[in-house]
Amino acid sequence: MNNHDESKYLLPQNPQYQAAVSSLIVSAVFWAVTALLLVIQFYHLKVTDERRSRKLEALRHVYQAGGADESLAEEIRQLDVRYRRDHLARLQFLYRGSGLFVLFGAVFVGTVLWVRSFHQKPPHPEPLEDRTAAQIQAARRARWAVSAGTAVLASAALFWSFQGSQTPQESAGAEESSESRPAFASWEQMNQNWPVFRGPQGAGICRFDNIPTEWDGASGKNIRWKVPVELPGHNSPVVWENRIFLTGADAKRQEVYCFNAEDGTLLWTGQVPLAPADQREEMTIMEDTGYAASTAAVNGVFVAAIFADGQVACFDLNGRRQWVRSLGVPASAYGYASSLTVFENRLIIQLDQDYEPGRSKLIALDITTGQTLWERERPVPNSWTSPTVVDWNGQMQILTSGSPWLIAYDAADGRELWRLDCLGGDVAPTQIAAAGRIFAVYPYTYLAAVRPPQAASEQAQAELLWKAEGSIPDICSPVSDGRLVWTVDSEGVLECFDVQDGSRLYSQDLQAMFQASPVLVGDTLYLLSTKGRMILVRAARTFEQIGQNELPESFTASPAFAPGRIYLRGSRHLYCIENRQ
Amino acid sequence: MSRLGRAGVWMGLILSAAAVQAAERFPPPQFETDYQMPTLTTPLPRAAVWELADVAVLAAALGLASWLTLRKRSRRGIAVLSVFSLLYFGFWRKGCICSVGSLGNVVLSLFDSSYVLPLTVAAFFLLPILFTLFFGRVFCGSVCPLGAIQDWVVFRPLAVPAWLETTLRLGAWLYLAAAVLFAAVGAGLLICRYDPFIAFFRLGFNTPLWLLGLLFLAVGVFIARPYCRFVCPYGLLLRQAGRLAFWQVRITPDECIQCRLCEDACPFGAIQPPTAPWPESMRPVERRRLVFLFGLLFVLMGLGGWLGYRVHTGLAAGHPTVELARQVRLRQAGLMTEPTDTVRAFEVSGRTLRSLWAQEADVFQRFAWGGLWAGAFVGFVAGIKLIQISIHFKRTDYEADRAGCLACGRCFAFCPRHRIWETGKPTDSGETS
Repeated sequence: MNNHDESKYLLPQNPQYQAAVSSLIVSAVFWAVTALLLVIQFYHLKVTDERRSRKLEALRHVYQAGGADESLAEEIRQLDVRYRRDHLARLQFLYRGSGLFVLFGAVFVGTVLWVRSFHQKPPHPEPLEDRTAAQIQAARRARWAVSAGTAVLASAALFWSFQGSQTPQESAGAEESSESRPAFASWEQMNQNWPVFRGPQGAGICRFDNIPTEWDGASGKNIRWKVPVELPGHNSPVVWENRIFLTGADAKRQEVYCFNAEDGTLLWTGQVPLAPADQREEMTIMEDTGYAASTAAVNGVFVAAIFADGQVACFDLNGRRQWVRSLGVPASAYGYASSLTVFENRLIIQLDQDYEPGRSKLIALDITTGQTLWERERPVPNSWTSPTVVDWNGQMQILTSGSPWLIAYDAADGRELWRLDCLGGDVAPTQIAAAGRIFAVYPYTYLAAVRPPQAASEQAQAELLWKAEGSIPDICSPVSDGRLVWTVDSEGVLECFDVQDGSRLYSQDLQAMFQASPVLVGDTLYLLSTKGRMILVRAARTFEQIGQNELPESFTASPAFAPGRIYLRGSRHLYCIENRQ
Repeated sequence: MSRLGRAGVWMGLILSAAAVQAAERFPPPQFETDYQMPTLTTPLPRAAVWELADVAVLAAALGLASWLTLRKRSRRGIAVLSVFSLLYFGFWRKGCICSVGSLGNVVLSLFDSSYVLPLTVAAFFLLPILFTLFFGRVFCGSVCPLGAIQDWVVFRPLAVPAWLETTLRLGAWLYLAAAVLFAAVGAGLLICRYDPFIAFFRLGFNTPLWLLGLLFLAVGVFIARPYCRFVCPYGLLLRQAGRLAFWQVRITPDECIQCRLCEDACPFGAIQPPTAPWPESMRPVERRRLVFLFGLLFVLMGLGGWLGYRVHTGLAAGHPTVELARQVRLRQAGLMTEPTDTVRAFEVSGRTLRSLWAQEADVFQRFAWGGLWAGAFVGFVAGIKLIQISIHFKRTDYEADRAGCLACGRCFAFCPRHRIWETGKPTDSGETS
């Protein structure tokens, strides 16, 4: 037995040691009691005072409901003063108590060190190991550990970047959103943005001022910013205030992107899960259509997107995913391409599919939950047009095109309002409403002008006013200013018709290919060719080209607009064009 | 009581103490009573003379710490000085301004021309670095109140393997990058906001900070000074300054006799043993590895920059302007029935939405660039660490790690040569006084 062991056995008799242990116990008790008292006071602060506050509130209601009862008022006054005094006393106790807690904690630490000083052991080195081997092993371990640590950090950052929506701040926003619904912007606000394919009501009309007429991709003139878009897609941008939304997809990923309109910063990326592999195997996707041809829709609170595999997802504007629905892979000859539209809290999906009528549907989902609000069967095969919501004499109608029917539904409940047999073939151009008429396209065949029934009754019939033949488009949708209507086909032939009788006023070969639909800005038509040439044509009865601007990549998506700005989605980049000084 | 049992007792105490909660707001009376509402006043700024006194105390404490550590070699003196620092800089001065937090102010002053760095803050930032360049990390050992409060709970220190220590320190570098980024873009002073011991120093009722502080102290019982070693961003600067120190804490006052008694003396794992010769046969492999790691350094920087850019939107959510824009957006969409104070202030300010969006965009852009640089920096650090691990330095004696030594003086008493130097005669054991 060495000296140290001896001293260990003698410790209990050592008066200093006894004093140290006693001090330790006393300080620990004091510390624990302080902590306990703090907990009790904290409980009263949170529970008792809260209960008293509710009691006071109830008495106040009684007082207000029962007239000016002076005795009750006096009682409330007395209680109020008493409760307040107690509350402040508790706060004071907590303040002083925490000071005591720290003080007793320090004393406790001191006594622990004092007791420890009696138990200290002398250093006792272990037998010397093979230092060379230990060094090599230590270096190897450290390299692996640092590599693993770096990988963990990188993975966490990568995960976080894909969960842009998952920041605490945004979660808080989602909590707020779940508390107070309905969640949609007004019709007026919708019309002040570019919320769906081809803008408000899908008309392809821009009512914003100061839209640029000149820019140049090579020199950067009037290009405010240009940012890459990670995954491809033919869908168009939609815009809500200072946020731009796009989708992109390939065989392995489907994503929704939100860009900051001011500088093109990618604010968030929303992931949309793929449909089950066995379903995707049956998909028919043409390269010209791709996996993300459908344009997203935003209602001021949520943005929703659909992909070629029938997966629909909804995000709030901060990127927090709200829900995902699988509608099943649509059977579509060239791949699904209908864009979404939105009316208040209803997300409208035109799910035209199969080669014979029977399986097509128009579906309205609650955009806040993804639940089906209503569903209507459609007697059409697959089509590539998009539904549009229009205000028709105060009634909100959903217009749809398919072969052979042009059908209108009540936007509120999905009730069919009228239909007209006037279309055929593989319908892709989307109908527009102008001058009290609907203009719909029978690809390669004719442009039809339809007058909807004036009254929404079962007997009401739509009327085919005229059919105009010519170089009728197969992809691009028409546009009208209420006096004239224009079409442009894929080969670049621009045609102008009179809305009254369908007479063709001119036909002009623009010497370019087109897939993007034209947009009317004031009295100027904006026509974006597949090679990035934006041709500006006077919106008049005679053809007059007033300008053209070039961008160095291919374009298939229709342009989107905001006050003073144009947003163009190219094959690789998203552009913002703005008049700059 | 077993170690597990003791840990349980500690945690119980911590959780019970966590109940000390933030002060509740109590609404003013709705009925007229004798109660007098106190007049709201703004506390007067601290007198300039006291600020100068603080700087003088800091300088004196650093000077004394250097003398105690390098000349006097007194662990007892260092311990007493650390108690004084804890009381003065911690409890008396409420932990502000402290050198650790001053890093954020310095960065802010570099990036925001409208912010003028107070001389006191500059002094608190520079003096410890200056002293470290000359005398090693004497600030950490004796003067830093955050270090001192942890130093007193090192009861059962466990040895942290070097590989784990190095890896965990990556977190501190990440924190440093985030703190600099946030300060540079004006998003706030992270180091001050999350100072784990400020709730103790101010006796406030901030529950999360109380919990955080207690957690660090509880961990500190077994892992000595966890905040200093694995979190403190200012400590990282001092680490680098310590590598360049003119004079450095030495375990032995004169020569190392290789007795190995000090091997386990340091609870911070900052004592480095002599190295063995590196096998010649491994040198070609080592050279190839170094070349690879130099290449990897640039890959890691690129990867870090890319990731930093990708997470910048999430980081920007912490900026008050982005938060305001979010709330305004919720308000506009009818999702915020009761506006917050900031939204209300915005609404009556007359500022346009467009200006708010532009400001928000500006913040995002700054975070994008800042995230890129911060990410590249963290990648650089990881790459350098890998290189550093793969370079072998020669040591013939037991030495205090120039970067990692916190100058606490615990190792002195373990060295028999110190005993001879101190008393003039050797002792029969290396036991501490």
